[in-house]
Amino acid sequence: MKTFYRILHFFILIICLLLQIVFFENLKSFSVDFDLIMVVIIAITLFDGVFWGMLFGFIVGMVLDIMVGSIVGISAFIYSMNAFMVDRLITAGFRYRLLTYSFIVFLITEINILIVSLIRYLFNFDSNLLRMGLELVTKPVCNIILMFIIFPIISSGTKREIELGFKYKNKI
Amino acid sequence: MILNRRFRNFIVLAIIIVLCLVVITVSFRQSDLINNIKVKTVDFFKPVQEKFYSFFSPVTHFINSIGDYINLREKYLNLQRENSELRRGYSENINLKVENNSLRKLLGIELRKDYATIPAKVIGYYESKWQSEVVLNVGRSDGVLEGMGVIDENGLIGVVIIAGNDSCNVRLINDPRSNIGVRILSSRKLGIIQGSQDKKITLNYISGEEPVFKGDIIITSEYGKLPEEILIGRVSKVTKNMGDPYKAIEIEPFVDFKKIEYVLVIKE
Repeated sequence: MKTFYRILHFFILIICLLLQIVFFENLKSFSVDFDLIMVVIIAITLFDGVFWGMLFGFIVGMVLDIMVGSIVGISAFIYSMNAFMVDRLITAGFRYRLLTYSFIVFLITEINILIVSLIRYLFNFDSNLLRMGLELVTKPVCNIILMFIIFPIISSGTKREIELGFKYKNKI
Repeated sequence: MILNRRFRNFIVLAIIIVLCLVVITVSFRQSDLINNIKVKTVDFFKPVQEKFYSFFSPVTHFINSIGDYINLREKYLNLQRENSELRRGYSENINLKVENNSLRKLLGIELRKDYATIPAKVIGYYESKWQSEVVLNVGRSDGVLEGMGVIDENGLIGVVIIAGNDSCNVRLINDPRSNIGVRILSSRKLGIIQGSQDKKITLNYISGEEPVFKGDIIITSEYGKLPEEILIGRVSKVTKNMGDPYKAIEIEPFVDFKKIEYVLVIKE
């Protein structure tokens, strides 16, 4: 059953990849910047484990870079690191609660923006600080909104559902 | 057991980091292997991507149209102003056309031939700070090759950068890595347009002494892979910075990149 859910989650991730390219990219004109793939990777790490989070993050990041990226490998690196960071946060004492999830998504989004900007800067691309500042404010909010849609989908059917804030939120 | 699992995760992460570094380095060297993989991946996802795009296009068009409604009044006033200017120039242009044709006949010079084009549909869009690209549903099997220009009824959109068998990726002219040789239509001065992270297009290498006016039309130059005299946009802002030998010129493209649906790839 576990394997079935992992395969299912991988397919969800692929669908989200296509959604990101054909739909969410069009919303960027209103400073609305969603990172659907990152939110799904965080969810997979939380509910399937860090190994699968890193593996799926690497594969999907690589596909994204190959399809539309400028530097191949950068998204794969970022998404794998995201999965690892989520695991570290959970190990450090973050509990499975709705508020904690929001904080994790917020933190990972901010770290992502800073890491990507740094890597791009190191690879001799220009960095626009004003745009980065705006992104640091709007992107986490958008991703937290996405989290409320994605997390219940990924968590449904997994064993760790009991630990979810969604199911027993009144008791937490 | 827990220690083993943690150790395994560290090893997996280390392998992934090494792999990513190798791929980033190979990608930066623009190897053929990466390009071939890109072509195969783009082809593989093309059918599903096309279906997804068709499914979501009404929603994306609706969202984009909200922005249009906000700017409707300003656009209307600008169009009215432009229309009155065009009317004024119309009669003058007819006279010039007649004169031009008779002079061409006299000199034995043929009129510029139209270029062959391949119609295509946009099936994907990708925009980040560092890139602006669209995916089209035509590829090598239709005769599309890297370096070909892409236009629509309003003007130049971009240049094909990856051509798969059945689809291709197009770098838009507002992409920060886009560089296209252009001319100012009125003064015939040569320059280069470049995109930027904030998606503004700038015209570079125009001397500070050169008169450039707001509203001047920019077209492609004959020096480059693209055919000459394709409309690009008009000058929207001209500034001269102290100590800079060149003018800082912003271009407003004729094409609205968020709305492109059907395009033409110029077959050279």
